[in-house]
Amino acid sequence: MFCSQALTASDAPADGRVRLWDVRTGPRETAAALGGHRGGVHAVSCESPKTVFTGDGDGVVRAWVRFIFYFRMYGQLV
Amino acid sequence: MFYFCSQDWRRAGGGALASATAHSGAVTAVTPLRHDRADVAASAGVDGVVRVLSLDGGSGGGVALVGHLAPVTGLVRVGGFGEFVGEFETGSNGSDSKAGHGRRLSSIADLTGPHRGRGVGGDASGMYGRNGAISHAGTTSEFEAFNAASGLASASADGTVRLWCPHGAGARWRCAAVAHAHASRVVAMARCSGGGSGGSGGGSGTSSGGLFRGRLLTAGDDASFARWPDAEPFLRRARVGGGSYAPVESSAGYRRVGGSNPGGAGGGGAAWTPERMHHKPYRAPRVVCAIDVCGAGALVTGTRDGVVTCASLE
Repeated sequence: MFCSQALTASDAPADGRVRLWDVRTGPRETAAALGGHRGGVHAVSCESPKTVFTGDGDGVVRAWVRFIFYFRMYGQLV
Repeated sequence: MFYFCSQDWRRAGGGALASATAHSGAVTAVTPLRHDRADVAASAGVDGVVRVLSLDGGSGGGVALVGHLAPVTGLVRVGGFGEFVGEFETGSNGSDSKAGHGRRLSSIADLTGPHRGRGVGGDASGMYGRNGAISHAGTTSEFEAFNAASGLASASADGTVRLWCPHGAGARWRCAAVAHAHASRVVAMARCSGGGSGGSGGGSGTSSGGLFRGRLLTAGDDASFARWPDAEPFLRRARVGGGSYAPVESSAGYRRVGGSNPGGAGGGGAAWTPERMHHKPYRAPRVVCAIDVCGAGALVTGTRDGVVTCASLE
């Protein structure tokens, strides 16, 4: 299973974990492994820019949202 | 002073934000309804039902679109269900509870939109509510926000492709069109997004990246392909001209509704037909299992024997 949106791709093997791959960082580095599904993941949608929706064999639909870090930086006046 | 924002998918591994038990069998397709909301979505399953979901941690509300007589194999969103604008709003620390909704949520069941009325409540009876063909229970205000050209397109193993659109007040939905294009099962469906945002349709179709923007493509398991016209104008006409339509309801359960278009002459009708078909016979049976398409006219096809091909829609 494969879906793509911008620079994020995902695969959904039968172990119930959805792996997200950032194609910018190389082919072997996963950006995230989303666990919690049972019965294997049968559907993935990466169409939304901030959210991944997944569906499994038990009829459950889940939504995953990226966590956001904010770094406040103060510049110095010259 | 400036802010630096970094979004990291690794933190998503801590658990899903929201979920719902949508189908009695496996989920075969899922699509977002709004780019700025993570708690509403549409899904399709092997039970032949298309659900418009509020991910409330329960059964997902009461909107169930039935009519397919076999497992639904493809589901795409048609039209704009809400545009994503800018970054998510969060507090200064990362532990704020807004969680990507652009507003503070008291719980994942809080579906009251910023410009609409009530939230989750309703009187859901059973998994899909009381009505047969097009039912709803609760979350009505959310689903009334779709514009006149919004809807869903679904494809099924029964060989049909259906268009669904909201109908009137009270979050009722109806089947605006049902069409047959393939001689066998429809195994995949994709929509030309036009590249870039990958979001809703509309806009100019004359740019190089949006030549086929809004078009739907379906693939049959016999390696036949159908290119469908943009459904947004059709849905707009169906919603404007379908005022006399009365949804078919069943008191005995949603499965009692037949597979034909319940709208009949009053609905969108069968005028929605493919604008182009393609079928290339192969020496050996080649079963298509997935397709992807971009607005520039490139169609990527994967088959069960591991072959991935790229073709032009021209």
